[in-house]
Amino acid sequence: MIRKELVAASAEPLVLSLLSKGESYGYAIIQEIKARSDGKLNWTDGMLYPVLHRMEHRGLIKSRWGESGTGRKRKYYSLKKDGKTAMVRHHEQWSLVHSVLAGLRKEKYV
Amino acid sequence: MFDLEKSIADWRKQMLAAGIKTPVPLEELEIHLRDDIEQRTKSGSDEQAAFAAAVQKIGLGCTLRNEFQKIEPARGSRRIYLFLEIWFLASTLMIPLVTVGQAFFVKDGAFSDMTFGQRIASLAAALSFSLLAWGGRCGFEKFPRLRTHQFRNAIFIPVLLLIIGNILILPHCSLTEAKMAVISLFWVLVPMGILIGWSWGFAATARKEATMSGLSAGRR
Repeated sequence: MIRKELVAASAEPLVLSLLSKGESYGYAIIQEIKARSDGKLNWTDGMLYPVLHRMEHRGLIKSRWGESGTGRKRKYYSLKKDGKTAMVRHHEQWSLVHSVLAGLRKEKYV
Repeated sequence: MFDLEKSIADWRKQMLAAGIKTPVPLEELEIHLRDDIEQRTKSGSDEQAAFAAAVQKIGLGCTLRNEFQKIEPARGSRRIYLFLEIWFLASTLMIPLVTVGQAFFVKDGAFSDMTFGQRIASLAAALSFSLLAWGGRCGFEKFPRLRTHQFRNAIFIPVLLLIIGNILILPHCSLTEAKMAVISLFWVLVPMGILIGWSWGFAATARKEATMSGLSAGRR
């Protein structure tokens, strides 16, 4: 299981990256992340919504109410221009952390 | 006999009691809960077990309320920023309009004796104000050196000197009222344009940077 601090820190870049593929809603976002991480990134479902609302207030994403195929109301989120910029920054920062970590790991086994 | 609708209604009451606000957050959480229950029952769980698992997975009302409450300061700062934007916009529009209105249409006071050239000069002063304000707003981001260097703060010194100069020097000059009005307009509007443009650009850039780094949203 991944530590909760890392789960919290990765929530924003993951949501932004996921929304860059198209609009989505809370439940689908959680299922997608769960599937992509083989269930290892396990969010407390309700905690996603404050994250989404906060990102919306910061102008990174926008939302609209719509209906699912079964007629259930859904709140769809999509990326805004500032969200795309924030996503690029996140990718750069996480790539940097990853490359430093990978480099150190490589040195350890040389 | 388990009643799903009654259980969901009870869960809603618990969430409301914990301080989860309606309509949006609670409605969204309920939709999520129903989606999860539906998915679990499709996978073979009975309704009661699916409901219990979905409620546990969605989390405690008090924990969610605390997370939602962290958004409130960000909402407040957003409103303040919006107010500032409106104020800046209004001032860059209203000040030139009032000046031009006085120079061209008011028939008494200092403006009444103005020649056509002096009226045009008043218009130029008003336009300089708007250009400087908008230039500061749009150009602030383009000059990172100005933002990071201490020089950016020194911009206030010449502006202050201009204002003080206006108060101290102008009354001692023997000029006609109309000439005095034109000079005063330049002397007041140009520094004001610089100040407003600088403040506006600084506020907009600071907000953008805070948005990007997540500092404005009361993040942990």
